[in-house]
Order: sequence, then C-alpha cells, then structure tokens
Amino acid sequence: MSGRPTKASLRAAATALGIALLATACGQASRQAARPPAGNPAAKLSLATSVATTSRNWAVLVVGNSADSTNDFWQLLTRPARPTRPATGGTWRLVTPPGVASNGGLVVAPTGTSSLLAGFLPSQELRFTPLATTASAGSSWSAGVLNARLADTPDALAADPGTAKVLALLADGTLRQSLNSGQTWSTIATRQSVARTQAGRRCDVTRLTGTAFSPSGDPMLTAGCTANGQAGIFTLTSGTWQPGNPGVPARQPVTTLSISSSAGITQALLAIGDGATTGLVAARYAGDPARWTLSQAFTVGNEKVLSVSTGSNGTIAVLLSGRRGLLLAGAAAGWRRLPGLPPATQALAAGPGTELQALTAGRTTVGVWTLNDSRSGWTQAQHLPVPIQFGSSG
Amino acid sequence: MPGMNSGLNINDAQVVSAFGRALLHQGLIAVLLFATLGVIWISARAWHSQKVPLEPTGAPGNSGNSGNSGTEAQEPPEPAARQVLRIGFGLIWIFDGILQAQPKMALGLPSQVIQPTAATSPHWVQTIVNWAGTNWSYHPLQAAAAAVWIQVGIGVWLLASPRGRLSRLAGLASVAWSLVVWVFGESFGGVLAPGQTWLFGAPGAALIYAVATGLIALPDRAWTTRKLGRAVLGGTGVFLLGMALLQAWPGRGFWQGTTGRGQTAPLAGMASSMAQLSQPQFLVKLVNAFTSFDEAHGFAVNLVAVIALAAIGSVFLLSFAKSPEPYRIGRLPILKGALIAFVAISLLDWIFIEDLGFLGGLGTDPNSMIPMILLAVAGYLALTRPTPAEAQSPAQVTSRASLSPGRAFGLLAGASFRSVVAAGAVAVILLGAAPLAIARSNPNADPILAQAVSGHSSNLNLRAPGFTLTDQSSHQISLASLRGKVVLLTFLDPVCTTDCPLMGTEFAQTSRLLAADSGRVELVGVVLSPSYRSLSAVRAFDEHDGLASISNWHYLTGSLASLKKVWASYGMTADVLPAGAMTGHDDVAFLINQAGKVVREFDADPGPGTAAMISSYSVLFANAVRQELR
Repeated sequence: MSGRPTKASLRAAATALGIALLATACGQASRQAARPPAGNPAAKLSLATSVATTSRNWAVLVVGNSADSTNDFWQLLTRPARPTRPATGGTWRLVTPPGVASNGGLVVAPTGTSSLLAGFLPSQELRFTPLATTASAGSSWSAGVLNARLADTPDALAADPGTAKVLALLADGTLRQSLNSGQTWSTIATRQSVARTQAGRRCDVTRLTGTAFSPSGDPMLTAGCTANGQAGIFTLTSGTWQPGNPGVPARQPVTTLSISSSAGITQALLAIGDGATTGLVAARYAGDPARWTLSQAFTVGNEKVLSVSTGSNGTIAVLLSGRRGLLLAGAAAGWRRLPGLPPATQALAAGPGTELQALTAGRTTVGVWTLNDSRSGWTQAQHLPVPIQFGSSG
Repeated sequence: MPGMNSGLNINDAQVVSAFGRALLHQGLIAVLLFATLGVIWISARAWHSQKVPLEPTGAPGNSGNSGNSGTEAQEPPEPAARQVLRIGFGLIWIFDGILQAQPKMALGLPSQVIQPTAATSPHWVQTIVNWAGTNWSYHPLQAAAAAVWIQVGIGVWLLASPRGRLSRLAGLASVAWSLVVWVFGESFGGVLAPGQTWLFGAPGAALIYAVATGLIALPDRAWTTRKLGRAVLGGTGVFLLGMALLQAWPGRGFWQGTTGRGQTAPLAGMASSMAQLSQPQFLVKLVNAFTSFDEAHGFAVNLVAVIALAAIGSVFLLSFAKSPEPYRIGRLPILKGALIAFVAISLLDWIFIEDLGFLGGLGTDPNSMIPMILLAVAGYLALTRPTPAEAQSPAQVTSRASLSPGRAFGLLAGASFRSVVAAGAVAVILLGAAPLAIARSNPNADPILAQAVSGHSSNLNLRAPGFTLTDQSSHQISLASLRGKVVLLTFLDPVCTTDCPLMGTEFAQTSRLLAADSGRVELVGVVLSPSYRSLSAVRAFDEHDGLASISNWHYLTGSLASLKKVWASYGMTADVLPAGAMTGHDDVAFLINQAGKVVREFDADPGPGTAAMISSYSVLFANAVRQELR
C-alpha cells in the first residue's frame, strides 16, 4: 500500500499490462483445427449394417435423424427369405428388442437361421451392456446382461451358430467368451496379450477392432496393426493366437474393416494402401485358414467406407460416402459399382440370392429400395413407419 | 412421459421465491446494520460534543470529507482521475449487484452464464470454471445472494470512501472480487478461447475492473505526478495496438461479413446473437441494422476498426513523451482528440456489438466498454491534471495511545458520515459472504435443488403393502422382516439409461449420510422392468452405481408375477415401449416408518443428474429418514 512508485516501475507496469493483455488475447490466434487422420478410409464404421443367414436378413439402422443423439434410436429389422426361384426376400418388419433405450447403438450376431443375439451399447448413465436373444426371428426376446461396456463397432459380437459360444469385444479392448449363450463370461484376450504373441509383435498391435468365429468354431479377432503388410487377423488355435495372414502386399498399410463367418466361409474386408491409392480387397477362406484367396482390389481412393454388409452366399455390399455403393457378389465375381443410392441410405442388404436392397432411414420411417433387374436404379419396395418415442430418453 | 429427465428450470418458483426471501432477509439485516451504526454514531457525536468540541482525530480511516459536519478539517480535493474511477466503478458495482439479484440468477448463472463462457476455452480453464460452477450449484441461494451483497457492498464502499486507507482498501477489495469474477465467472475473460477480440469484450470486463480499481488502491503520492497517467494511457495504447493487430490478423473471419458458405461471420454473428435477447425493440433494430451493414460491408467495418484501434493506440503512446500537450491537431490537443475518438468508438461498440451487455438473458454487467472508457478517461486526467504534492493530505500521525472504550467512542464520534457508511458497506459484504462460507463448509448440496426438479413429498399414513422378494445376494427379503427399521423404498429399472442409475447413486450417497444410523435404516430397491430382472442385471446395476458395498442396500427381484403384484400394490407402472425406447416407469421413493406405515412419498425424478442434484436428493432423503428416526 505504501512506497513511492518509481518512474521505471510505472513504465514497466504499463508495458507489462499492455503486453500481458496482448499476449493473452493473441494466444488464441495460433490455435489450429486438428487434422483428420489421412489414409484410413474407415476410421470408424457405422453400426448400421445388415447380415444374412440362409433363411433370413437382419438389419440395424438408426432412426430419429435428430441433432440430439438421445432422440436417435437404433432399430433392428428382419425379413425372411421366400421359398421362390430365384430366391427373393419377404417384407421387412421392425423387431427391435424391447425394454432398453437403444440410443447408444445396437450390435447383432446371428446365432442360427432365425435366432440372433443383440447387444445394446450403453448410453447416457448406463455403464454395462444389456443383451437380448431371440430364437423366433424377433417375435419374442430373452434378456441378458454383459457386465461391461461393449465396443462401439459392428463386429463387437459374434456367435458360433449351433453352439452356445459367444464372443464380445469390449470398449476397453478386452475380448470375452461365453460358452453358455452369455450367462457367464471369461476373458480370452486383451490388446496386451495379443500384442505379446509372436504374431502380435509382427503386427505391432494398436487396438482390437472386431471378432468372429472361424468356420471350425475357433475365436477370431481383428486388430489394428502399425506394421505394413499385416492384416491383423488372429485365430485362437490350441490356446495361442495365430496369425491369419491373407497374403497382402508387404509394404502396404492394411486395415481390416470387417470380419464374419457364414456357411463355412470366413471373409474379411481389407483396405490396403492409403490416400488416393486405397483399395478394397475381400479375403476369404473355407476350411484351411492358411489358404486365403483375395478378390481384385477396388480403388476407393479418398471415398469413405461407411457401412459393410454381408450376404449369406459370400456377398459383400459396401456403402461409401457420397451415396455410392459397391458390390462383390461371391468369391469369383469382381467388384461392381452400384447406381447412385437413394438419399439417407444407411446400409445395404444383400440376398437372398442376387437381391440387393438399400435401407434408408428418416425421422420416423425406414425405406426399402430394391436394385432393379437391369441393375441401373432403385425402386422403392417398402415403407415402414417406426413409432419413435421422442423425448423418452433424454 | 414417465422415466424422463425434466431438466432444472431456472425459473423454478420455489428457488426464485427462496432467493427473493434470502435477499429480503439479508437486505433487512443490512438496513438494520446501517441504522444501528447510524444511531451509535449520532449518539457518540452527541455524547462527545457535550464533553469536548469535536476535532479531527487524524486516525486512519476517518479522514474523508464530512457529509454533515463542519467541524472536521477540510481535506484536499481527491484527484479528478481517481474520483472518476472511484465513483464510476462504485456505481458499476452497485449496478452489477442489482443485476445479480435477477430472480433466475440462483439457478441460471452456472448453466446460462458460466458454462457457455467456458465452453470454448481450453480444458484446464473448464476444469477450474467447472469447480466454481459446481460450488455455486451446491449452494445456489447463498452463492447468488453473496454475489449481490459483495458487489453492492464494494460499490457503496467505493462511493463512500473518497480518501484515506479505507478508500484504498475499497480499491483492493474491488481488485480481489474482480479477479474472482474474471477467473470463475468470465473464464479468464474468454481470452484463451478462439475468436476473441476487443470488439467482443476481450480481455473481459472484470479484468478491466481489477486494473482500474487497483489504481484506487495506490497511495496518494502516486497521483501527484504525470507518471501514473503515462502508465495507464500508455499501457492502454500498447493494448489497443495489440488488439488492432489481432483484429487485422488474417484467417480469423473479421475481414468478411459472411463466410464463403453464406453464414454470418464472427462480428455480425456476435451482434446478431445479442439481438436475439429480450430487449427494447429499438435496440433490436439498431443492432440488426449493424448486422446487415456488416454482412454487406464486412471488410470496410473491420478496416475502420483496425485503423481506429491502431491510430488511437499510437496516439495514447504519446503519453510516454515528456510533454505530450504540444502535439495538436489544429487547436485540439491530439491526446484529447484520441480520447474523444476512443470514447466514441467504445460507445458505438457497446451499443451495436455488445448490445449494452446486460439486457435480456442473464446479464451480469454492462460489459467491457464503459469500464474501458472510465480507465482511459482516468488515465488522461491523471496525465493532464496531476494533483500537486502540496495539495495532498498531510502525513497522518498514528497515535500509539491505547484504545480505551472512551477513546474508541471518541474516534467514532469524530468519524465522518462517509466513514460510517463505508463501515456499513464492509458489513454488507460480510453479510453476503458469511452465509456462503458457512454453506461451503457443508459438502452436501442444498435440498432445495431436488425440490426444484421434483422432490416434492406428500405426507401419508398408509399401511405399506408387504412383499417377499430376492435381493442381490440371493437372500429372501420381506418387508415384514424389516419392521422396526425405517425403510427408504424405490423402484428401479436396472437397464434404464437415465434416471435409475442417478437414483441409485442418490441412494448410495444417502446411505453414506446415514452411516451413523445404518443399523436402523434399510434402503430398498425393487426391480421395475418386466424383462431385465435377473440377479446378474441387479448385480451389474449395483456394481456400476456404487451400491455393491452398501450393507443395508437390498435390490430386490423375483418372478414377473410377484414383481407385478408389488408394482400394483405401490401404484407403479412399467410400460414396455416400442422402437428402442426404454421401459417407461415412474420415479418415486417411499419412506416407511418403523411401524410399517408409508409416511412420505417422494417424486424422485432426478432431473439433469448433476453432482449437485444427486447430492441434493441424498440430503433430502437423509433428512426425511432422520426426521422419522427421531
């Protein structure tokens, strides 16, 4: 309070005042927006997808179209295959399991021809994963619980059809297995445990990204690899995680976008390369995991892979950014560009037979569009109202 | 829709009314304080005047100009620059205090003022601000009232203390509170957030308060030369030059009225957003007119702003020259001209961009331009009209005599009216701060928050319907087996994504609050989901919501038939809704006394589920249980 302020101190105070205010105000000027990672065509696939068994299609879509995610609800739809020649599908119906808010997302894994396991990603205040199983194509459901947070990826759940074996990839990178349809669970892998294996070291594992069962019922997982030329596909054989390397080019970065097994075939969709040279390749094997076959590469460049769907006959349908789509109809066929997709397409549904549908979602509706016979356009086949309960979870 | 968050309504009648009552009570106490001080002072003067003629005592703090006594020594006049700051900021603080008394302030300040301000700041700033916001949220009535009285008190103190240590102390008090407001209320004035500019109020009004009233705290001799004026005006010049540079910096969006995508650019956007607030229509028209003008002529507007800031800042730097007066434009001293320009541009900004700052929404101050003007004017006056040293008050002689009651009474009798008012202002500050300090010593939130969201309870006297179900440890629990204990009963869906996990956390906190009575209290939840009612579901719920380790917690489940029976007997519903909606259900809690009677029913919708709200509910429940235990 006292003491004579000197000329120098006052001048210093004035300068400090000016500079401090200037410096604090200037601090903002150097802030830059973070750059999106380059090269990876699918940093995160949407949970919207469809899978098929020999007798049924299942699809997961998000409906609500709201700025507030608590008003977006993930829905499960299914349709049977009709016993016609050529094979066609019936109409879709809404079979979302009841009793849990599906705002966080929905992940599914077929457990049989008309049975399915569904997992609700926890949202808002919920911290664990409600499960639901149906053996009646969604007509009735049984509740279960996975006392952990399921990973936010469409390949987070896998079931070995005809057995009670289930796999769940958790958000913390742990892979759990249940041998009794989800009643009890045990951890069979973590990122660290996989990274420590010989195959894991070659891959230089960054994180676990998906899971599946091999045709012989062995647990499989996919991982992100830092090392080039590594697809990051592993199979648990005789208690050890063995690499499943589809023989991708050694110097190229590889990302395994999805993995699934159906009708005795395991197939994975790989993104090989980066930036404008990124190509999609389907890798398959039937029986011998050492004998993968690769499809031709389709260069997607900087287009983003939004959703991957699989048909029961080995078909892979890929939804790309910009309302574009790709189809790989079986092992022997090549990739084919689809005609421009209907607006708001969230996923493609492949099969039965050669039928291909685009599934769109609006605020309270789902639209079904069938690729016409000439393969040149889409025809609306169905319009499903979805009784969204807006405000019921926010 | 049952089972949904209702959100905290900042207009909640209960909180608004309680805030009004708190202000009224404290206001009455303040009046009483002033009246008591006045009576004592008048009595002391009357008593003292009978004994000895009043003389100036020379004691610290009583050297102000007398408002009603001609017997005190005539003080030298206060320097004009200091007077501008003291009166200007005294009035602003009182105005700010009145703004803090807006009914919505108690609940609205954290969510409507503090959080939006911090939203674009770095994470560490948000952490600091969040701490303050949470503290406010826990005790909103005390915090809001404290802000009112502290600001009014500082304002009155500044106005009532023109000279002496008491005046300088008022300056220091203002600095301290300004910095509190700048850090916690303004998130460091937003200077760490992107896109700030002097035109929007950078570096924050409260920082300008702190700098300006810091000058009031300087000793008298600081005002006797031009040095202080040079420091203030020169410093402002450096600052304005920096702001001009920032304003001219490319890529910040100020050189255009609209973005390439046809969206409004930052300057017009700021004005436009201010015009959305509730205010007189002519102001809306003025601000909208500016918005349209800036959208059409964004480059020109920014050019004018940059040139004006740079030119005024440069001229203010002339104050560092030995004798700035000879610099003139025509007959107008150049410094004076720059000051007039600065005042004009600041007023234009205040009206057209800051939109006066306090209208509509939850304005807490008139923003930065008026304080900035006061600071610049004071700097100019300090530079051009320094108070000669001989005009300053003589060195004060500090008496070493012991302070006997008689002498104290004598000092009081000799005090000026303004000193008495200043003492009353200090008491008002303490009157606001003390309840907040006391409330802060309690780590739990005010139960009025829970009542604001819902939390209303009905007093009942009904026989509690009995049940026998299985708890998380597979034990059979019947209500009859809990007879003799107070039971807090609720119904929870284990896979509910919103209210039930919050209510579970509330029960866990209630249990901790009732730890001393845990042997006499049972906390019971009954599953309220037709499908998710397995033991694994209730165990997962317990584990994730902090209930697994609570010995007197029972989460009960059973067959669907037995659960439905219990739900029906307590009037609960569990609606299975389609399309991915969670089970619709009620949020209710029942208090059952030792005799098995339902004595209270709580509407237990936990609203937004903030930490303060959860704590508030736990206090509400614990208080109700304790009341029943008595």
